[in-house]
Order: sequence, then structure tokens, then C-alpha cells
Amino acid sequence: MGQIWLLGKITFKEGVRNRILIGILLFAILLTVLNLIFSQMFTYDLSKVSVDLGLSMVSIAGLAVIFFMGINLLARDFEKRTIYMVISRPIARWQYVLGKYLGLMLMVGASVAIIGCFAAASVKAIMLYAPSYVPPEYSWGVFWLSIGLSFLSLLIITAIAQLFTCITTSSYLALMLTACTYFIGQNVEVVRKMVDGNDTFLPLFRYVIRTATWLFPNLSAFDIKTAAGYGLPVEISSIIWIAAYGISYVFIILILTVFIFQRRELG
Amino acid sequence: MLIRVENLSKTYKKGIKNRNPAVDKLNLQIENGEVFGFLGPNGAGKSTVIKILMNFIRPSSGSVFIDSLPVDDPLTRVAIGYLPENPFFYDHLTAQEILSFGGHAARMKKVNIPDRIERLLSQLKLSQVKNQPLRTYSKGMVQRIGLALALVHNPKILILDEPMSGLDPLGRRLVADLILDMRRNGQTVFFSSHILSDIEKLCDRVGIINRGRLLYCGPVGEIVNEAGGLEQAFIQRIENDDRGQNGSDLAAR
Repeated sequence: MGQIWLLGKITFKEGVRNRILIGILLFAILLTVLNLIFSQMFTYDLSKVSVDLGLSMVSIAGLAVIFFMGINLLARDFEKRTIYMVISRPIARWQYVLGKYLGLMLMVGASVAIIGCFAAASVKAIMLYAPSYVPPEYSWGVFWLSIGLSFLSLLIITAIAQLFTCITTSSYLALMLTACTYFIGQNVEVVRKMVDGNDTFLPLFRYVIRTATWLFPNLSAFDIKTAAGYGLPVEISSIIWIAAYGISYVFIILILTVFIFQRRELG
Repeated sequence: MLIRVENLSKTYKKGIKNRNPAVDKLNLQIENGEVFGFLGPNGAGKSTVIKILMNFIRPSSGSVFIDSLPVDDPLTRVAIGYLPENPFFYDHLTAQEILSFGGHAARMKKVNIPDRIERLLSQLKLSQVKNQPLRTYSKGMVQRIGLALALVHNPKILILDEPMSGLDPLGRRLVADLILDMRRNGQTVFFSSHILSDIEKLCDRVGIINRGRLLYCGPVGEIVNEAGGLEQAFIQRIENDDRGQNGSDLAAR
């Protein structure tokens, strides 16, 4: 665990000192201000709009951290051979994979925590100055739960980004593949529901879609923004299942990454 | 025997037909406490051998042991300090942070790490810049940090790939002094270089490699006396080997 923590720590330090991260955080602050302005255009459903915008902000900024920083940090190790600095130490390859993942997890976690606080502050400010006839329907509990699930979905994307970086070693290709997986993951559930309830689709096509739902992460399952915005109750058991699904998915992807990385030549 | 290379071969796949070995049935033994120079023209296979020693790449056949352990065991690297040909580090970390990582990762006792870092930084004339991010360093300074990282845990074996490249004469002198210090302390140094005068001055034994095959392995004095200088001996052996290979290529046609 010591080696993993050491590597996680320097990856985190390298990441948080990068100017891109500061840029992303400034962008998030700008979105907070925009949230304050946009929500003035609505009279009803004010809590829904502000919570929705705030939580979307967390997801977008988290994705930006992974796409523009995380992948770059991972691919740089292969492109610039900074990996030699690490694996010339008594660090096993599986420890390298987990250490890098831990560092990125801390980086994404810190970003989500900061942006989540900005989002919460913007929601609070909007509802504080809202007209008295606008009901504050949102739920803080579900709001923070939604941020937690967003974080978990970002961890899945981080693990996928690391897998693609280990396979391709090119940051551009890894970025493209990760982005594709993200978009498929966001929509795979909707497509499956559409195909399942419609006999006009070919059986082969239905089979392909069903297989895709097993391969790609169902990221829409982690989206409970609507429940947060309207203050709807969420079932604890379903949240536990979603969390278990997310953690298991990350676990499987990391095992696959270790398996591939053990066999990679770093010449 | 500290480093033992047995029948080592490595072939890179380049298309379907081209399968020339980068290293071809290489046998090599490095004794405890010796400074060994690894010589060869560009593309001879020096870096490939070093990368196999560090377990960055895997041999196609043969085996390599360091301190009696196979090189794919991460524990072998507790005893090794390594400097790549062009070291790159995480840009936003400081020298202090990188060396602290190196010391901790090599399982040094925590109490010894700060003193060791201070001593090395002062020896390599980097104390003034120890808290600056590495992206502000010149190429020579990066090379010296690479050397400090290789030395931070006071390794039993130092493996250096072209350690003098990118260094000014003062930097080269520093590296040479460090290698001589290690020899005095009974540590083992294995390094590749194109600078024959450095090899002649620093090494106990040399290995000359061409097209993946070891042409000579023995004491520096012996080969220097044989041809009247290391440079002449090196050129002679490489040219003879190339002529022999061209002859056999023609015969094969």
C-alpha cells in the first residue's frame, strides 16, 4: 500500500499544480455566476433549474479534469518516458496502475468537492433571493448524494481513460476512445429500452445492443439530478446497488488494465 | 556474480519479414564492485540490454539475474539506481519532492532521507534550486537530478545509460567523480557511453557490442594495450565485425 500511496501522492501533486486545473476551476466559478444569472429567467421550478445547473456543472468540470488533465498525465508517462522514473524503483506494475489511479481519483475528488461547494452555494444564494411564492422543493440530502454518484461515474470514466492510455499510449486516441465510451455509456440505457420494446428491430441488432449494455458502463444510472431538483425520495437500496455496480465496474476495469500493463513493453 | 546475463536474445517485430535481433545470444557477468563500460555504435543493442536489466522490456529468450534474483522481481530494484539516456520527470514537482519520492519508494529509512537528499543536492550543485519546479531546469540540471535520483538510496548497483550526454565539462567531471566514489565504496557501476575517454578513465572492464552480439568483454588495460588505445581497438573490432557480416550476407545471396 505504501508504494501505491507514494505514487498517488506525486500524481496528485503534479496534477493540482497544473495550470489547466486552475483554468477548469475558474471555468466552474464562471458557471456558478451563470447559474445565478440563468435562474433569474425562471419563475417556477426555480429549485429544479438551479440544482440541475449546479449538478451539471460538477459533471462537466469533472469530465474536463479527466479529459484534459488526467489523460494527459497518464499518456505523458509513456510519451515522455517519465514512467522510467517510477518503475525503476521497487514498484510492481500493478502498484503503478493502482498508484496512478489513486492520484487521479484524489485529483477528480478534490475538483468535484470544490465545484460541488460552489454549486451548493449558488443554489443556496438563488433560493435565498427567490420570491416567496417559489417553493424550495429541492433536497440537500439528495443533492449531495447526486454529487457522490457523479463522482463515482467520473471514477468509472477515469478507470476507462487509464485502460485506453495503457493500450494505446497516445493521449489523442485515448481521449477519443474515452469520450466515445462516455457518450455510449450515457445513452446505452435509453437505446436498450427503445430496442427492447420494439419488435421491428432485427434480432441481431437487439443482441448487439444488449451486449453493449453489458460492456459499456450505464452512466445514466448515476444521474439522479431530477430527484435532487424536485426533492423526490430515492430508494436507499437502489443507491446501494448503483454504488456497488460502479465500484465493481471500476474494479473490473482496473484488473483488466493491470493484466494489459503487465504484458506491455516500455521500450 | 552481481549481474548475470545468460543467452539473452531480443527480437523486435518490424513487419512480417524483418526480424533482425536487437540482442543475439548475449552472455555477460558483472562482478561485485566493478565499473563496467558498455560500448557500441548507435543501434548496437546497448539500450535494449539496459532496458531488459530494468525489466522495461522482456527478453525473447534467455535470462537475466541481478543479485541472484530474476529481473522481473521488483525487489531487484531495491539494489539498483538507474539513469535513463534522456531523463524526464514530472514538471511541476521540485527536486526535493522527486528525491523524497525516490528515497521512500526505494524503502529507505525515513529518518535518513532528508540528510541524504541534502548531501546529494550539494554534491551535484543543485541545493540552490531544490525548491524550484523541475520544468524550470536546464537539460544539464535535469540530467544531474536524474543522477541524484539514481543515487538517493545508495544503491548496490548503478545502471547508467549514456550518463554524460547533455552535460557540460563540469557536469561530466561531477559524474566521473561520483562513479569513482562508488568504486571506492565497493559499489558496482554498469554504464553505456559513446565517450571512449570516459570509459578508459573510469572502467575496470569493458564490453563491446555490435548488432546485438558481444565482440569483446575484458579488462580495459588489455584491449588498450592490444590496439594502442581504446578508440582504435573499438573501431577495429566494429569494422572487422561489419566486414565479416557483409561477407556472409553476400555469400548467402
